[in-house]
Amino acid sequence: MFINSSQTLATEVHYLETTKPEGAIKIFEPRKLNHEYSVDHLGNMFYIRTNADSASNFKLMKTPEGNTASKNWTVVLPHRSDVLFENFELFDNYLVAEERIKGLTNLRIISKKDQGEHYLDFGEETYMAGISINPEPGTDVLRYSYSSLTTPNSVIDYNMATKEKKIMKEEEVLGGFDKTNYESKRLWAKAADGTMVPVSVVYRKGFLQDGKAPLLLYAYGAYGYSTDAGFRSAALSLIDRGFVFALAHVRGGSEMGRFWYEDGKLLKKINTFSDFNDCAQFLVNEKYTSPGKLFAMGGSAGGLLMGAIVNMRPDLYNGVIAAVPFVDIVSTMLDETIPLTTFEWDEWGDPRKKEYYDYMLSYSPYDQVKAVGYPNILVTTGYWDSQVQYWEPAKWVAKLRDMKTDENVLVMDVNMSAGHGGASGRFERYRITALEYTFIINLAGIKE
Amino acid sequence: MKRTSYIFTLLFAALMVACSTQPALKPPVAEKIPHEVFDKRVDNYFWMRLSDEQKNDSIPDEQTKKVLKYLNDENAYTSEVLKKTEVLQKKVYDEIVGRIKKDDSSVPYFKNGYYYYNKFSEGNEYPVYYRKKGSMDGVEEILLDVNKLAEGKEFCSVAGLSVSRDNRLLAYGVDYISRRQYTVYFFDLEKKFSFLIKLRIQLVR
Repeated sequence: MFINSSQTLATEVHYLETTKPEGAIKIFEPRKLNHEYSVDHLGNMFYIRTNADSASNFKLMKTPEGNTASKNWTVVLPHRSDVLFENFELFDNYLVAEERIKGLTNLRIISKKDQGEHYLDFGEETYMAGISINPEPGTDVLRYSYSSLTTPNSVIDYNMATKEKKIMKEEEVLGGFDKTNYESKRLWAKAADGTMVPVSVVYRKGFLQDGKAPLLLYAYGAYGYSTDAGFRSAALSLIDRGFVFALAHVRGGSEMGRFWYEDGKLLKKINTFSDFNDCAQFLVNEKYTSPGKLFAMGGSAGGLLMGAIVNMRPDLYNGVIAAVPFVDIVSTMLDETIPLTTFEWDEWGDPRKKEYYDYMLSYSPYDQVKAVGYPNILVTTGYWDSQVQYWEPAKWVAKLRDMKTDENVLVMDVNMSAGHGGASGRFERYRITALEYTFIINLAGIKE
Repeated sequence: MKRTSYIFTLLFAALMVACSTQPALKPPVAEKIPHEVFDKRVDNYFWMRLSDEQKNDSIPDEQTKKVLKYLNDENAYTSEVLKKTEVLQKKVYDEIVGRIKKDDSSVPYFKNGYYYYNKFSEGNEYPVYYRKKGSMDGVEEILLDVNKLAEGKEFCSVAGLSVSRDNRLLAYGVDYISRRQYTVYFFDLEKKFSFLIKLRIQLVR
């Protein structure tokens, strides 16, 4: 049994032999700043995914039982500067590595017998794939998950010896869904500093690239979490009405490797916001849409992104949906009584230090509200939210109302019984999605 | 005659105003109470912040009442402004939910002698977790019915189901108030009784 404790930049793992539950819980490797690691066990070996020794994209190491200290670790899969090593699975005969290369997840199968290796081919331009549940190491069958903007969530069993794939399940999408009616693509938008940012788009076949289509651009861009181009059945309600649905894989996520995250946090956080605006401008220039038909959406740290982009480019968007938005960043990060504050100084910066204070204040959405015309804005929040407290969006809305010079719609939906994740039921949770989508469908001038 | 046309002009002007001023309902205006925060920044809306103690108090104080009134006013304004889209909202909601298979089950996986899977049934918001011993032809054993846990609750999130190595104990975390702080419960699958240990788990934004 492993007990993991982690913070933005450090981890510590403790373990206990489950055959000796009365035994002592031992420390695997004491925490050190900037050392992140995770551990698995097979046979008499521990395997460690670690960023030790400047392996910023992570590497795989191993060590025998009883010698868990890092000085005993030996390299299994070395660090590579262009490949982010994200996850692994141990089998008796195989080692499977989940690797992110140029924004996409890949599954690499390595035979323990002859070290022969191969990658799985998924056959689509943009997609989402990952190791699924594989509790038994004594098999040659890898279970993985797969989906794309056009392929519903699937569970696939892959025989690593015979290379045969067996689709165990593909999520059934009711209501006449036919994947051949849709097309998805991966594009590259050039950011102001020359960086190429991936953008995934999906639309109905027959879409005309003439700048007349409405488009919803979504992004998150924080904590190194990648926004993958997985299937979203709810978005069909937009796509079937003629919308292009797009994902901006902005810096702050890890799509292009660990550096992608490092370049979108702390004193480089503004890259996240400018990347989003640059992706939006690119989609306008390429005639996927036009400013009068362009909509943006993000939640939580992605809600901070929404607050920042409307201050930077209030002219670019028709409408913006900011869900549970983290918009009062300077005041929250100064307040140590708020649950996540001290925990997250490594992500946003510690504003008690002047350099960080000045930088964070320069983009803080609440502090930077100006007397200008803003797009139509829908804000959502939950009264019980502990990750982003309701007063951040509430104060932001009040200040926007007071200062904005436009006649556009500005509304806030406060769920008085829910927190950060909204409603918990599988149907009930879509009430808010329906409200959000209808908000922009209506603004796009679509009647039904 | 002159008078009637004057009234018509007035009516017409009023209609014009009503059409051009959108939204028709006035948005709530939040009171400004200057409050100095770090580095002499002035926050006019600092008063909107309530402590957990204030929120949980059975008798709300004046500030809590004021904040709740403001939030409820915002909700009322939102409903009013979006009223014209209510029919479409319902339609979009029905479309989205209509795409979800009502009776659905996960692909079973094999672990330590058992096949584990979960099922959703028609009309249920939450899954039921099951296992079968040895093969999928075995007897179905209910591990946990989340619908039962969620009865009478506005929110219910279950996480981290885990079975002990001897296959006898089930552990799972439940969050009833959506603050992502889970209480871990244990259930004895043989003797059918449960006990709990409080643990706090906090997730990021």
